[in-house]
Amino acid sequence: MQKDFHYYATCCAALLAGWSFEDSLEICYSAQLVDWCSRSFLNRVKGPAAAATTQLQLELMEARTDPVGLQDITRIWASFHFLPYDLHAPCPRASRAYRNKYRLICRPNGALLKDTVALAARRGTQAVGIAMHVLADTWAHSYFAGTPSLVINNTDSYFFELLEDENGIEQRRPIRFRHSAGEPDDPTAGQYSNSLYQWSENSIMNLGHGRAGHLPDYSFIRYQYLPAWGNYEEIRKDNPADYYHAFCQMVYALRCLRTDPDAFEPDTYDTEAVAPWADEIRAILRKRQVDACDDWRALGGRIAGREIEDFDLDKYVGPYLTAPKEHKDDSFLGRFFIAAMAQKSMVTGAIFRSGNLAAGFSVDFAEKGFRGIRDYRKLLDMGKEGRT
Amino acid sequence: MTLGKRIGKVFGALAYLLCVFLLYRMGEDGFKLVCMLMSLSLILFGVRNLLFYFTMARHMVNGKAILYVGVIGLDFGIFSMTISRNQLLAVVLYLLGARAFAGVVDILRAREARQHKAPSWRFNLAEGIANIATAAATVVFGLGLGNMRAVAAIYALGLVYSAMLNLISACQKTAIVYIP
Amino acid sequence: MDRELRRCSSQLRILGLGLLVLTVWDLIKPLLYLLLAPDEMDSIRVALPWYNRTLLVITVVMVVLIMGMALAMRLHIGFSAMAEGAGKTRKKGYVVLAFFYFVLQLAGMRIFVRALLLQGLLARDLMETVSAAVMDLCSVCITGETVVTALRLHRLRRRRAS
Repeated sequence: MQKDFHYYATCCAALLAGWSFEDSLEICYSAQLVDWCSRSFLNRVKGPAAAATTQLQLELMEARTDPVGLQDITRIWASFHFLPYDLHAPCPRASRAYRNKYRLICRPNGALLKDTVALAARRGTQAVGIAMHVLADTWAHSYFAGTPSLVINNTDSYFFELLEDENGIEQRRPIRFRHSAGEPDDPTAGQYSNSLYQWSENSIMNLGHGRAGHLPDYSFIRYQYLPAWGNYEEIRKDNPADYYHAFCQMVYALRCLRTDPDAFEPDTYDTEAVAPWADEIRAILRKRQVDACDDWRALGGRIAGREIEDFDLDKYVGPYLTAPKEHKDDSFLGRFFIAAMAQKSMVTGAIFRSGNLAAGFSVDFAEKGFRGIRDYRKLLDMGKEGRT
Repeated sequence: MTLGKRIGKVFGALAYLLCVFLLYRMGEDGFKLVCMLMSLSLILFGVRNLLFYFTMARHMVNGKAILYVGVIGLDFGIFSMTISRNQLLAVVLYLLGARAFAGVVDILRAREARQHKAPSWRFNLAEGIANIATAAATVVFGLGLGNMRAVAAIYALGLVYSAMLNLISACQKTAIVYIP
Repeated sequence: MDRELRRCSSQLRILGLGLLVLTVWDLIKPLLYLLLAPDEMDSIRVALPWYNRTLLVITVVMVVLIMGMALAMRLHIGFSAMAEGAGKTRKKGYVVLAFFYFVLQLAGMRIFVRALLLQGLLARDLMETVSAAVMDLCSVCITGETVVTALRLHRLRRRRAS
């Protein structure tokens, strides 16, 4: 998903769930920051490198795809953007290597979603924002995996956009992707870009939904394609419906996190709270535009009765840089970094415990003592102090 | 990375360096070694693709194309091993093709990196120029001057580079702490 | 049924492509062999007495003609399979041609195996023999699978139409 949903729509959802305007802004800021908190950003603010929640295009192009590099990539993308649905999914007559990647496929309402929301409980608005980003992306990025894999994430020429003609009859229009990085997509003409085909299994071009271009991130589009893992079974992706489900589930999750975090259950949607605004939301989701920020911002303004400020990446950088070392973790960015590391730790641990080394090693501190990346010491220390 | 994979990478690097040493010691006879290594690498390419097909790509839509790549690669490797004469031309063609192709790919990557304003474009460009210069040197020394020793040296440089990459990869650390 | 149709169409397209690639490779290989091992050709030429040169020329011409026909046949089968897999107009008869070629290949493999068993395997020929066997086997499998997949696709399309 993009800024229009992660920032403005999340803000709307938080307002509808009863959060205050200020808390809603913090939540949506954190949700959008997940798409910006790369190693470059962390270097700039001198934050812990292990708190990276994304990799920018530049970083991906320089990323190594040896086993260590792949684990690093998978840790980030599987934890925040492609939450695995079922880490024990059956995969008969497949090799272990294939099974490990197959089990990283993202879909909504998996077991890890409940853990993600539970982890955000009572940890502040930053953790809530991260959880909402993860939740929303499970709907948009369904059927792709957060690891470079040709055999899972590839698509082929069987790719159609589903449109309705003037009589309301569904038509299929073939999508022929182009590979120009600089040119924007043109939905009117049906021209979209995707990543180049690379037959190397671990090529960066085969990470996530690169082979489907930006289509999963457009709320208006409905399309049909053959996923590489699907054994020629067609997938119909109805983004307007999925995004609406994502929004209603976010409202429900946010309400739980505000009132009773333990009550959260997957596959539950707060359609009642959303009902008064349902028509407007559906209209925004269906509008044929690559960026719906203006519409969502206007809706948020009407719900809140106030204007929603634009996302400013540097909003909390100053206080973090000027904070004394012993109080950095109490600043907004400090709390965000800790929440990000906790999320990454949780997901990586779950993947490792399922017998899958795709995201690297996860060491149980209680059994083995401290071994690993120094940044995670913060989580241990906070755990000891009871400051989770 | 597991310990086994690290050890494998280190052994791989040592094997490359051993080949470089042998090329240095054997002089012009090193050429036969180059030919054998070249054929082996092609055979390995074919076998790797075949293994990839049988372990993973057979589950993939249109995965059978990988099988054909593997079979052709394997046959090409075996074919290159059976050529007994005119090895110089065979090695020159192989080095020329492989290096020129790698150079073009690196330059395209540099172009894309520059479009995205990534600082790595200089490194990619340098790699691309180095690969194309290697291809040109192969043609000059191999076809032009018929200097087998020079062609073997160019091949040895490629092996040293691969060994370094293996060692760097083996030494990278990773671990993560899980809080229950 | 839609899934099976998609699977057969896609597989037929890939099989056709595979057949084309193998055909092109079979064309390039002897040319590379001539380029990189001309001494082998010299040794063949020197071994023959002068009055058999005419016979040699006739033989070479016939071999080239037959190889040309086989090449054309394989290209036709490959292109037709790809076209049918892509849902374009079906060219009749390529399946029959493919079956005929499949039978020829099987016969060729049988002769190859018999020759191997009678003459034995020399150590220096091991690699060449393995290479030839792998390629022939692959080619046989592709042609056979093309026939089976094409027939299955026809049956599925008929069933769907009815």
